[in-house]
Amino acid sequence: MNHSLTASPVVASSDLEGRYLTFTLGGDNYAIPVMNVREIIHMCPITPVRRMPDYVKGVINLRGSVIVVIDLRLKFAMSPTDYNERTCIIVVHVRGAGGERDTLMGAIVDTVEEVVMLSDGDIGPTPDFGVPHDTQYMLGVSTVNGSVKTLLDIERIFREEGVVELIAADPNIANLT
Amino acid sequence: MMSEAEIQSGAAFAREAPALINLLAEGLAFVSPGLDAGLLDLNAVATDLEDLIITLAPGPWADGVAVLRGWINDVVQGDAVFTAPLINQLGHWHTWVTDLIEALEDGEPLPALPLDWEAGGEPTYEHPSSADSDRLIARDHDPESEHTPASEGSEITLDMGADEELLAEFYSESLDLLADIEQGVLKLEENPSEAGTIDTIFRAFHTFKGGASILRMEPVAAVAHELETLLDAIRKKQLVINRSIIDVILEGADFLAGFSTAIGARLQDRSIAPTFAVETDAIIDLARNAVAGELPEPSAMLPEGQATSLPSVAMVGTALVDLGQNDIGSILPSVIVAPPSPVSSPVIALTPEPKPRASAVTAPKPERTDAAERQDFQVKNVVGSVKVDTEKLDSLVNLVGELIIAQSMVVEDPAVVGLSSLGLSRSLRELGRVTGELQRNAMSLRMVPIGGVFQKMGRLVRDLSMSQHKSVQLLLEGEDVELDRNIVDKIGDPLVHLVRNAVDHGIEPPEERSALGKRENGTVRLSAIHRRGGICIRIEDDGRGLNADRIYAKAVDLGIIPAAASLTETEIFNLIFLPGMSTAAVVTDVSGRGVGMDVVRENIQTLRGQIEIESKRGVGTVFTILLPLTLAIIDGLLVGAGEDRYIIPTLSVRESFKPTPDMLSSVHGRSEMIRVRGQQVPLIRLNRCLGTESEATSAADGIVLVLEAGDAIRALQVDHLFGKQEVVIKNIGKIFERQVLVSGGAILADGRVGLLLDVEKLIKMNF
Repeated sequence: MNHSLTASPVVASSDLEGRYLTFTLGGDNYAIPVMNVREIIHMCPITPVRRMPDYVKGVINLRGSVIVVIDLRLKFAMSPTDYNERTCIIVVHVRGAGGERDTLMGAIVDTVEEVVMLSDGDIGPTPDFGVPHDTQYMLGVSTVNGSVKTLLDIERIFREEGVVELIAADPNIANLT
Repeated sequence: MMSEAEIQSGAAFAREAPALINLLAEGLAFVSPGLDAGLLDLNAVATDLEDLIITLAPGPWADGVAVLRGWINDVVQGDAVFTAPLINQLGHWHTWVTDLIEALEDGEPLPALPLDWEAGGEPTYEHPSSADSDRLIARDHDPESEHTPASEGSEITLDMGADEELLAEFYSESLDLLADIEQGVLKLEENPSEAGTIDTIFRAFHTFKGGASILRMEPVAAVAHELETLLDAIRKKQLVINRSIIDVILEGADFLAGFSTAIGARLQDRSIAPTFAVETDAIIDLARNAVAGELPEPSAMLPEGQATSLPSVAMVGTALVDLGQNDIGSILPSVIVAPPSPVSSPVIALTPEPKPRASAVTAPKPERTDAAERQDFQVKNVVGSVKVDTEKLDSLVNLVGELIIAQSMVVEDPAVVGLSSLGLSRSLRELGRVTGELQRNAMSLRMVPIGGVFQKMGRLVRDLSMSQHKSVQLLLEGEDVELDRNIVDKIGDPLVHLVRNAVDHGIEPPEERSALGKRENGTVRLSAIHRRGGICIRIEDDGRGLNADRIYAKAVDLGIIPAAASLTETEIFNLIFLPGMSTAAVVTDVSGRGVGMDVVRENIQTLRGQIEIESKRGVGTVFTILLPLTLAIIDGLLVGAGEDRYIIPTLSVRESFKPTPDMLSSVHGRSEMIRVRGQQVPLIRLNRCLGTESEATSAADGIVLVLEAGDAIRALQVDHLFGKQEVVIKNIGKIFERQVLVSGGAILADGRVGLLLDVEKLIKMNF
């Protein structure tokens, strides 16, 4: 246990231990709990829904169900990029809040990397960026294998309407620990 | 010498007895030692057999039925389970009675009753069959009569645990019986002398009594018994049916309905206190007075609201029956007003925990379920229908929809299209035929006639017109038109509201009508017909019509429209669908509080339906409701706008055509109009609504669809019309709630998602 991190967030991070799916957006690495991931599919034809925010790309047919697909780059106010053969849709299970039904939603990401096991010791609290940016969508930061991964609360992100301002953890943090 | 009635009942006997014996045989096939499965069925058959005796009975028959009744009563009053010897004996009884009927038919000597048969116990009731009618009536005035456990304050304990199956069976049966009674009574009002209807009601009360006594709910059985006696007197022509008697019958039915609702509530929610008291004296007295001919003339009604101190159903517990005292009191004739005596309220306790029974054989759980299933199966056989969870049906219909899509994806796949195999194309055609047939069948499973909902309005109109001293007849048309079960379930409330409005506000009081030179009898007509691939329901009244001036004034008052707004009459009428609008001068207890019409329209819109109003002052009002046949699958037109494809419900599309430039005109160079059959209709370009590029530069390049929503007609210009397609509607998620143009999605033949356009919103958004 890293004692330098035994400030209050550690209690919370003990729940965070588990398997994570890692993916990239631009040059940044992210991870979401595998628990939330239903499946990963390649890009498929998306039916656009007009008069919606840019980040809502439309709907797809997932074996007979219609699910919403969101471009995570646009959701995080990052610059858009063309989709290519590495682009994937991560189908995420979003639990219904306040009596609503559970739903499936798709998140478009640049590439999907791997599933990693993160223990408590691998996960640090969300750093204080010193700017009034919202860190409530981040579960924490992990620095395994030298690369920094931002752990996302994907359900929360999907439940939130509008663009989410997110600052990826600075890769330099890896050098600090 | 036989009277005509006796000859008739003799014929009825010959007709019905074999059928009942068959039922008995079927029932017997499903009883097992140590179980109570089938008990209610056998009891019902026995009760029906006893009915036959009342009308006409050959000697040994009556004795045989008495024996059967005795055995069944033994079971009912004992452990409520069958024993092997008894089942054996029942089998012998069936053989004997079959012989008896054959002998009767062939005119041969009747087989005698085997000597070793004897009724095991005292019958729960001395059935009317065993007493002549004079004695019957006399006995009913005897305060010591065994039929009045109500006044003895008897206490009965029911066993929620052990009797659950029986209770559930009783509950569902009682609902059918009560519906029969209500239907029957309404028929009687039209034709008081119809013997068949009187018989139906009589039997319904009788069967109710049987069920109640099996469950040892004697006070309730006693009420049912009194009502049965009343009906018996009517069918024996000892009483002439009149309004007061019909009221008593209805009240009795209400009482029993309250009771079965209470059981239903407890079956659903075990946490409700199992004990509740029923006040039976009033209703029993009422029935007895009716039998004795001591009811006042129908005109001597109590004014409304003055009889609130009348006894009715006093329920202890929480979620109880809504059988308010006013309800009964308001129509009770004053003569029979008797204050309830608290001592005489019997208490029926339904204990939630199973109590150990003296000698009950507790069957292992799996066997019990098995028996219950077999019993279900048997019940289904008898009525020739199957009760299925609607969710299962929904999922079946959805899967069939998927199958259709998968099938067309295969057929239209370029790889398959490119093959030139005769065998393959034949197989594909066959596949198409089978899937199509399968879909039609699956859909028809969900379809139920709308008549059930319509008939409920009969009682409503009757009660309303009585309480408002109006004379209203309800005409029903198209009761056999079939609709998706889900829609039928949800259309009831809006219809109730509209029918109430028609009687409450539409139909004038008789004096006013005759002053206007109208027939004193008002008419409400409820009809259903197929229209444009959907269903059209009309609620018409010949009352005073909507008062456009008053609606307008009210809307201005409420600030809904500006004071100088110029609106067409139709637009004014449509204001009543806005929240807060109500034109009722008097607020009655049923409508006119200004809640309702907005809810009515909302309900209909959630069913993807539309509602329209036509009304003429002094002539009447017509509400027209257009509904799709089903919710799960709709007929749609597939249209293209730029790169997008959309589905438009066929129900909203009046026609489509390729416009010519001379049909088009524009106002102020911006809003475009198109001439459709001599009428100028605003033109909407779908691309502009969506903010996408159109392939067409002029409106004349595309296809124009004429859309209808409510009273609004708009022309919609699209780039392509691909064709008609049946699609399975899918929810597209909460995220699109504010995206008003799209109300759902569907998987198209190429596997992509098509979006369903919300025509109503599209039209509203633009104008």
